[in-house]
Amino acid sequence: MSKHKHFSHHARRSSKQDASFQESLSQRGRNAFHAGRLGEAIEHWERAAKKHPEILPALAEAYFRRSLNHPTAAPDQPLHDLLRATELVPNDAIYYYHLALAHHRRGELDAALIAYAIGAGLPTPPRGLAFAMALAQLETDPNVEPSALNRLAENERALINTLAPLLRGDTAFARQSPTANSWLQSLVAKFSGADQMATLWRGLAHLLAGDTAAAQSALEPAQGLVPRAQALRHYYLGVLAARRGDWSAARVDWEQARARGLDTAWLRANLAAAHLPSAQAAVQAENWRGAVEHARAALRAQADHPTAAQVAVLALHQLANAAAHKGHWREAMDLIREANEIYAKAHKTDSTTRALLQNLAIASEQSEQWEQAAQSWRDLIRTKPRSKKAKDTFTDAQWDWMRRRAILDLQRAGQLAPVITLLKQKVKAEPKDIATRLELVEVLMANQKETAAGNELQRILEIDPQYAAARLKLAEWHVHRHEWHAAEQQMHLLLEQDPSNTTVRGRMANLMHQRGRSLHTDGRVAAAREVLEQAVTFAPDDVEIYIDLGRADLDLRRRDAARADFEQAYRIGGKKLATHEQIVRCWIIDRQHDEVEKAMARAETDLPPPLDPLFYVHTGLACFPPTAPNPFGPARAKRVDDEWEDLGQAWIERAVALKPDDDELLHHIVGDCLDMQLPVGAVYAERLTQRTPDDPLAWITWGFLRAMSGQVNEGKENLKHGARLARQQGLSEMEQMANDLRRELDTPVVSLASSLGLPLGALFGQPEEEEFEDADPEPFWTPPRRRRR
Amino acid sequence: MDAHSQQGAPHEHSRSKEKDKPALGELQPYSDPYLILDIPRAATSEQIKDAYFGQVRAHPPEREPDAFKQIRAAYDRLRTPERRVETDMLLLQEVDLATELTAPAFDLDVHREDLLSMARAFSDLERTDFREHFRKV
Repeated sequence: MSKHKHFSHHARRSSKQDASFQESLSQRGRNAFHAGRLGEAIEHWERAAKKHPEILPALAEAYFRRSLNHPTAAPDQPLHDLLRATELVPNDAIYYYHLALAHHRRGELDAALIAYAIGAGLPTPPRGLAFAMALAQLETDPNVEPSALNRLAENERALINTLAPLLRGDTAFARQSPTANSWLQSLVAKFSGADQMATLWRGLAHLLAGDTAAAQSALEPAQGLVPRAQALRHYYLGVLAARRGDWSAARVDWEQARARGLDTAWLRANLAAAHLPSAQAAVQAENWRGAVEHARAALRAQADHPTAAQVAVLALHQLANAAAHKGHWREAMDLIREANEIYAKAHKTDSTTRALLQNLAIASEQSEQWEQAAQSWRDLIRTKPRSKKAKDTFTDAQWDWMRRRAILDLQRAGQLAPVITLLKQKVKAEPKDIATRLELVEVLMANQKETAAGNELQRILEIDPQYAAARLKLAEWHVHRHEWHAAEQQMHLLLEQDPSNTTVRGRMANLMHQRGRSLHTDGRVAAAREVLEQAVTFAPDDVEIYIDLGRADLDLRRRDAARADFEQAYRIGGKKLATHEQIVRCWIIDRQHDEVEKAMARAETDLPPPLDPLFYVHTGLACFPPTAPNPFGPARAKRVDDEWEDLGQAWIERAVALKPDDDELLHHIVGDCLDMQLPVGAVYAERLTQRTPDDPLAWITWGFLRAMSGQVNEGKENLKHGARLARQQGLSEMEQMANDLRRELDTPVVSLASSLGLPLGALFGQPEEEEFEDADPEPFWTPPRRRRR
Repeated sequence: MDAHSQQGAPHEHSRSKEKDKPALGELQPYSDPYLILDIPRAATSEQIKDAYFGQVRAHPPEREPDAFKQIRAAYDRLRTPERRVETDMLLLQEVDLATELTAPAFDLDVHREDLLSMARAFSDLERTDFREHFRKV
């Protein structure tokens, strides 16, 4: 076969196949159409229509029929279908009529009138077109006589002629007798219910004319009305009742109107308002539950009714407060949340919004609903005015606190990662929104994404180099990474911007204080002193800095300077025991006996007697060297010195003499010794056993301290005695504890700790943080009796 | 405190804490330190201090230990600026709504839309069955 023949054969075959395919599409479309699957029919026929124009009327019909069946969820679809139908068959008045009706229902009167006019101009316009068109014309302007009037049937014309003056406010119709309306006679013949409708209209005409009694009697009969008219009758009966001030009757009628499908804005507003007198009476009587119920009913009618929202919020707030005062926080949270939702629908953001959000956050935290709490804090943060100059009720410190709290609550909820994603999206959408960027920084920091947080801070400062909060945060970021110098640079930049900013000056002092202490601990005392001296220029009333400065001067053998530093500390904090105690300890570390005596005497002179015995305990214990040198930390005392130990012992005894019968004081001394002064602790633990020989705990404590001070066998004996006493007294858990301790004393690691004088907590780990949130770190074992500190 | 409750192991402590804990949403009742000290929320630190000492004089610890405990706790919550920020932020706020509510406004006019909607009932606008408009296919 030649090439040419081959192609022509192929083309013939393909053309045949195509025709058959088109035929099949038409048929499939027809099948679908008759089965009521209009969408499928349209799909097939649209494909076949190019080659089979005879399908077009069927296709148009399919579009038309589909337009009548669309769900209300797709309000635009009927219009599209009808437009396509009119495109496909442009000379069919039915399609234009339905297109006009579709526009008319949507309130698109101009478009409706054009479609009505086209339909009216085509052959055989459908019955009803002229009436609907006249209505559209009246709706557009009741003062213009409808052009379609001459095409109307007599009854329709009569109806329009009655309606038009009513719409214009002309109520003469009301005064005519029913039999005087010729249109009514024809209406009655044509439409069932038309006579009742006429009565209803007459009632409305009376109402328009201000004759409420006549309106009432015209509106009373209820028989034979179509549902819409029945609903309207109830609505206007409600209006009449409201005009009389009978709110409850009005409410009943308006509820009836709503139940019959009427849903106009004025019905919703009036129904809401009709509940308010009862709600307000309940408010006046402080019947908050009643007020909430009435307000909720009002809001069911109109969710954004401002007065109903006001009543609801007020009553819900009162109920929430009462619940909170009883500790019923979950109930309070639910009430505030409802109040917040109601208020947000009806009002713009204002001080009430803020109060509700703050209360919601508080109640959510108390109910441990962390996610809700975080969300509420974040919503509150979003109410911050954008302009820095705008007056605001919250201070910068409070805004900061809220940001931190939101993040803390998110952490508690385990929700930081999604927040980061959300904030990043927000930043992407609004790259110059610095507040969001700063929030992102906080969240990144809380989620330990430090590098990302640092980068974000740099970006903020590129956008606005004067943004103090970001620079302060960048300084904190450097501190977090122990980049002291970089942190200080940022603080200097801030101080250049605003030299008198007390917050920045305070933070700068704190920063330098930390750096000074860190240098001192590392043995770089001269450098530490220099930094502390700068720190004090930023916080001239900070006692701690002067004391640390004094310590540095003592280590540099500059005792006169140290004395001057301590004088400054006395000047500022001389009325506080802690100041005296710290200064005494500095002189103890420097082993200056005379100075220590002087400082003690000064404390006793400057402070009102008697001094707290703990002052003598703490200073006394400072005189003792640690049990053994700690190889992992700085030396705490320079050398063992009997004279100092005697002095320390004397002060502790002075404390005991001040409160000779105070067992708690002995417990306190023993507790303080557990860290590094085990033999001293053993002395006072023994004294406890003498004072309370039947107390198993005293024996256990003494046994433990003796064992840890090297008297292992004796200590074990004491523990055994303590266990026996506990058993006799039925304290099984305490007995178990004593036996456990005895066994643990045999382990090599405890022996090593004991011989090195290590703080025992370092070996055994600290108790769980949440157990002792407010306490100092505890050693491996603490006598269970509560310490007094 | 009895001897049993003096047992020292941390997990014991934690268990007893858990046991004593109230059910969720039923935690400690709300208390307002400003109300306890009888001062406005905008009080200065001096006013707070004065009010505290005044309250302590009125309720000395040796005679009214519980009242004193409350007063002391209230003062502690307001003593430093940092604590005060937190305390203020965790105070339930009053909502700024007038208790003298405005009278409800009613719309008692006859609406032209209602008149029209009755006329529409006679038109095809509210019909759903148009089978007589269908073309034969």
